[in-house]
Amino acid sequence: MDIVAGLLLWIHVILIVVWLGCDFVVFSLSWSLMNRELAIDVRLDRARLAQKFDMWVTKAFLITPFVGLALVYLKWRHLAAMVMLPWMVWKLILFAVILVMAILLIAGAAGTTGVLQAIKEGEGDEEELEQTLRKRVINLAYPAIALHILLAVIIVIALVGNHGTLLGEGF
Amino acid sequence: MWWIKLFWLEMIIFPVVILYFLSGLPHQSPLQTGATVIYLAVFLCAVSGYIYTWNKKRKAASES
Repeated sequence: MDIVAGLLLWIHVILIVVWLGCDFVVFSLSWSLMNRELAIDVRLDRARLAQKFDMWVTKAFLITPFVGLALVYLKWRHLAAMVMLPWMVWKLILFAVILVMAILLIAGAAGTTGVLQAIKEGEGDEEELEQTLRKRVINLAYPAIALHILLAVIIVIALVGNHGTLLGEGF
Repeated sequence: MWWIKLFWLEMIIFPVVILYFLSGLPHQSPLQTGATVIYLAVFLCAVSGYIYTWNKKRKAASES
């Protein structure tokens, strides 16, 4: 494996670490939004902070598959290899489920800050808004947890399937 | 937010790329057929997710 492929592999790993790490932060911040003992300004700040971290999650998530495609091309000189090797197809299938989870999360999370802003400004029934927020956070927790588990499985598949080309070999 | 727009774009383009390579195979194994089905589902989810979010934002904008 040449230096470019080794470097790209490291970038791929770092992107996944950023993605997973920031996603855990977003998850715990989002979970704390349900805590009514916290001042509404604190909850609103946490929602905005979660949004900022989510921006990094999305960026890492968007770059990761293309770095993966570049790695496939550098290793096998043809992108079709990714649909030919069984372990790569397994990775692709699990990644497809992650894509669906990500779509659910992005589509479902839109407007969460708006709900907290409405609670702060006293717009509408506070109890109803709190219930909406609670329902949204809990409903989104399932795809978020599933996404983390699937990502961990993909990492294991990648490490096992790619055992001949360890990270250090490019350097 | 440009990265959200990019997210939807990639959610639509990535399944298309994978489906392109899967459709180019002369013979598909059950695993590859499974991948084809799931990427078709991802493509449909991405299109409907984009429409859902776009509607959600449009409603929120008209209410405020």
